[in-house]
Amino acid sequence: MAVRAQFEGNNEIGVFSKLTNAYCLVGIGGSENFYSVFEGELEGAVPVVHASLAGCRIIGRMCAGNRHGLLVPNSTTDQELQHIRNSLPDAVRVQRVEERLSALGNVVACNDYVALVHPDLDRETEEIITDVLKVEVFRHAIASNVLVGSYCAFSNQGGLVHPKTPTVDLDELSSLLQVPLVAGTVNRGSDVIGAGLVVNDWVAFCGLDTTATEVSVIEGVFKLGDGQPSAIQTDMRDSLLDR
Amino acid sequence: MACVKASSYLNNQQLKVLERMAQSSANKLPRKKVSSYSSCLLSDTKPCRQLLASLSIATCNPSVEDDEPDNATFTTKGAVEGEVKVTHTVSTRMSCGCCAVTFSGRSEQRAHFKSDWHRYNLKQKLRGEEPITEEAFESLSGDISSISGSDDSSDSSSETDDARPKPSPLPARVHKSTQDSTDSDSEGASAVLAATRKHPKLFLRNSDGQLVSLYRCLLYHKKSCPTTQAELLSLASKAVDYTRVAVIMLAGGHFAAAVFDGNQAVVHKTFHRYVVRAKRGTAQSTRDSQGNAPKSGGASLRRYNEAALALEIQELLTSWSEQMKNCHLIFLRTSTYSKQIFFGGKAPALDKNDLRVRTIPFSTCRPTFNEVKRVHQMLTSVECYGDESTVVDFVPVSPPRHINRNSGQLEIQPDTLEKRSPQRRKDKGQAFADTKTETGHAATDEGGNAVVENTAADVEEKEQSDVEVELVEQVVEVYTEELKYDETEVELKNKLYTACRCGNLDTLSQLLDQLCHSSSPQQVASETSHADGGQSGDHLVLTGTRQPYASSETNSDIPVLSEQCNSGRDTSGPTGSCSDSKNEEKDERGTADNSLHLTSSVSEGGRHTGGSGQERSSGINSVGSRPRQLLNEGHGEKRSTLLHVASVGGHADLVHTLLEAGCDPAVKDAAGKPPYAVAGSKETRNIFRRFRGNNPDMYNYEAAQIPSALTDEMEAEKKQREAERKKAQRKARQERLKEKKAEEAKVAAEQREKQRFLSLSDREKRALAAERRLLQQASDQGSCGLVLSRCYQCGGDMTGKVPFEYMDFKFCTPKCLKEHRAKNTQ
Repeated sequence: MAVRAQFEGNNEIGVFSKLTNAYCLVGIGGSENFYSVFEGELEGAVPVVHASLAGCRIIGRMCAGNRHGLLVPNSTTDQELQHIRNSLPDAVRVQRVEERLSALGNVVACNDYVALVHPDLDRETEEIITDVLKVEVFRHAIASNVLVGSYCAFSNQGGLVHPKTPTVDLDELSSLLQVPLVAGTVNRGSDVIGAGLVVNDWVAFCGLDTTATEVSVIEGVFKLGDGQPSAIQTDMRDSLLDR
Repeated sequence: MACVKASSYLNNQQLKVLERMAQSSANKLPRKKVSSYSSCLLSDTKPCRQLLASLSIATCNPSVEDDEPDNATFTTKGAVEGEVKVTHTVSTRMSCGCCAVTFSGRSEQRAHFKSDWHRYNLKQKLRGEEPITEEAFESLSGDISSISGSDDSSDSSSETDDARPKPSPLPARVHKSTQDSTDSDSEGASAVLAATRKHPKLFLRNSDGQLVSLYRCLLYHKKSCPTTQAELLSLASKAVDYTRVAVIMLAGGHFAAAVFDGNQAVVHKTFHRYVVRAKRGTAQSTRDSQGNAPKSGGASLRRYNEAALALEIQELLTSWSEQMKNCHLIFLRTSTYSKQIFFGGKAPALDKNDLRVRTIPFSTCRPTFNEVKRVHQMLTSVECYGDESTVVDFVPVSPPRHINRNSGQLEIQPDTLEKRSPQRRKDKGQAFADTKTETGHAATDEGGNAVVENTAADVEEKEQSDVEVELVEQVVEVYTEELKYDETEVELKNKLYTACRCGNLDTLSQLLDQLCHSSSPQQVASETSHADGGQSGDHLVLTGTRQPYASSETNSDIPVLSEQCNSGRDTSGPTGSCSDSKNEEKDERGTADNSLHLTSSVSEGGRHTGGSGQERSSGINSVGSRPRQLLNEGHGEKRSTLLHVASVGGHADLVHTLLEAGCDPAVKDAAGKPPYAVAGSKETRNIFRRFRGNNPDMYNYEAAQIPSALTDEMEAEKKQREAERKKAQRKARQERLKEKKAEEAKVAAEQREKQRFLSLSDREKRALAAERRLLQQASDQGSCGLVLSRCYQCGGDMTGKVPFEYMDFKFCTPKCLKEHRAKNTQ
């Protein structure tokens, strides 16, 4: 299911949070409302951690990660890094990255198996991504936009990309990433998907402005909620039923 | 490289890649020498214009990037079209839209999306340009081998130039693939420019079909790179106009700079400072910046020298600012860390954004003037490699050239010396001769305004020597007379010196008397020789060796001087010329101005001495200027005056006499010490101070370092103070003695008491002790009336005291005992 949330009146919750299958980082806000939304949904499943990076609350745009690891920019202080290391499960590797494009959340989009990165990313960073996040890295653009992290969001189940992505590109990307993709919007028509939506394999959070239609698209493509057709109905149907 | 890494995980692709790499390395253009070679300098305008007429880009422009990228080839089989479903399923479309390729399998697809080609096309697409084929990319990638991430500066925009026929630097297969694509001229040019940006030379073909080359740095600054071929060619044809060029080189503390106009050095300068420790090899500041800066003497010396070098360079360049402003080009060779000498500071010598400032694109030797000339000629030469058609499939290489010492021109080096660097070839003697001619050259060019070289002065001197000959006659006349009196002078000086040295007051006062009363030095000499007898002997006065008269004067001043000398002789006779010669000795090498001034003062002095006979008695000021000069003259290597000599010897009376005679105590010796400072005794110093007290304004006593005046009152006061102090001291001593005596008396009394006690019998001692105990008890109880024993004579209480006794009588004091005995015996 997709949950709507707001960070101090701001609908771009992807900016202030980072959600993966192993952990959830939440920016330090004035109130605990935002944190409570995440805690309420994720309690017991993954740790929900208050964090800041380089003293900023915009952690969602600063870092990139999946269940294997977390990459933080070079500007992260030692204290912050230590706090994150202490809070995350031991299996998650936390690594600082020396990268010119320091808003890693904007230039890296990844699930647990593949990552889509900005074409200008350093070779070294690419290698670190491969090593730490245990993913295959592809340099690509989404709808002629190099900020792949901003304009798409995908989990192991599926992905949502910039609404103006051509169908051909969508198909190519889908086959490259090996996840079903849909072009869509969040937050009542916003094309910055990465900012409006955080998602993992079983839950998605989107901005409070997100319409019901948008939510249904999100739930559909990310295979969230109870309304999903079971495998018996879809994949196994042909083999089970004679026609 | 990075590209290899990217594809290294590919299994079957990897082999292909390696194969390709091996091939591509074979495609690199070799460098070869050409059969016919000639070069001419840009300063030779005519042949240069001929060479640079109607240029076009030559095909042999090499690419410096040798490593070919290694992206894998992907055979373009038919696209495996997957069905695009509306439901959320993973697409199976195996293609890449921006590169327009389809893939046969997943691995191929993955490899493609990681390839540089894909990334390149992606960027092309984002720029709104057409994607290129893999082959075209492969050919291009020579110059964009690292399109890895962060450097997004690969600005080459289109396919390679192909309009021209073979030979071309591109591999043949690339040519074939790109031949059919149509290219505009500018596109081609930019490709060539991009492909060859890093090669220092630009190869061009002129109207005669000759292949010529120019250094790129001559044509444009790397920041203002021309974008089209036409622009580049127009720049090349304009190169002839760049006549004024500055070359500045700085390395390892050696600095050389010159401004050339055409082939002539307008100004030039070289200097060296010790900034690099030989064993270490880097400048001191570089070492210091690594932390833990050494504090050794050598290190601080180098540190100082670095700062001084920077300052010198900046000053020099500031003084050249006029010439530099007019320069078309400025070539600078310096290390990164010393760039701030030129570009840093409040008023930098060179502007960082000045497009005229360019680096030297080849290796250079130690900065010397010769090297600067070589660099200048190398940079400004147009090289011609003969007919372009003979240069096929290779990059022409210029034969090594070096500066011919005789002609000062670059010449092709003979083959035998080819392997050796120009620095090693340098024959020391030859090099020296060379610099000499150069400096002469420069001096005559510019009048030596900025060129500070000793040799330049020599050249001038030679040129003017013929003018001097005319003047010799006049000078000689003056001169012979001077020589005659010189001997007597020396004798007199010797005697004075000897007298001071020996402390012979009589002789000295006699000499001084004569000196002051004499009207001519001749007289003085004869008289003093009588008076002094054979005194002198071993004390020899050293006088500076006489310089040839004309050598220290410049020709223009000589006529004036000789005139003055003549007039001096007329008025005061030999005195004038004599002291003139003396003065010259003193100053050793007087300048023309100086001697001119002296001659005028000489005539004055002569008159003075003439009438000074009576004034002597009045005191100090009676001495004329000539004897005074003599008195204050320094002797020997130490330049110690008579006063110094007397002062060191501690001859107070002599010092007094000399001061009275007019010796200046402010004259310092070679060590910079005035006579007071070298005085051998306190009495001598007091003489100086007393003199100051008597003549408070006569000399500069601060310079003479004489601390304060000493007058009679002061001396008396001081004496009184001294007496008082002595008195107080005596008193204190007596008191101390008294105390000591008292102490001793105390000790003796105790001793006596002890003795008396010991002389008592044990019984009496016990009785005494018992008495004392009782007394103590009584006093403790507060009652004080207890009397145990009384004196036999006076009846006084003597409880607890050791009694004086005789014949069992006991008394309190010896007095009582005496009285008792006297009474009894009566």
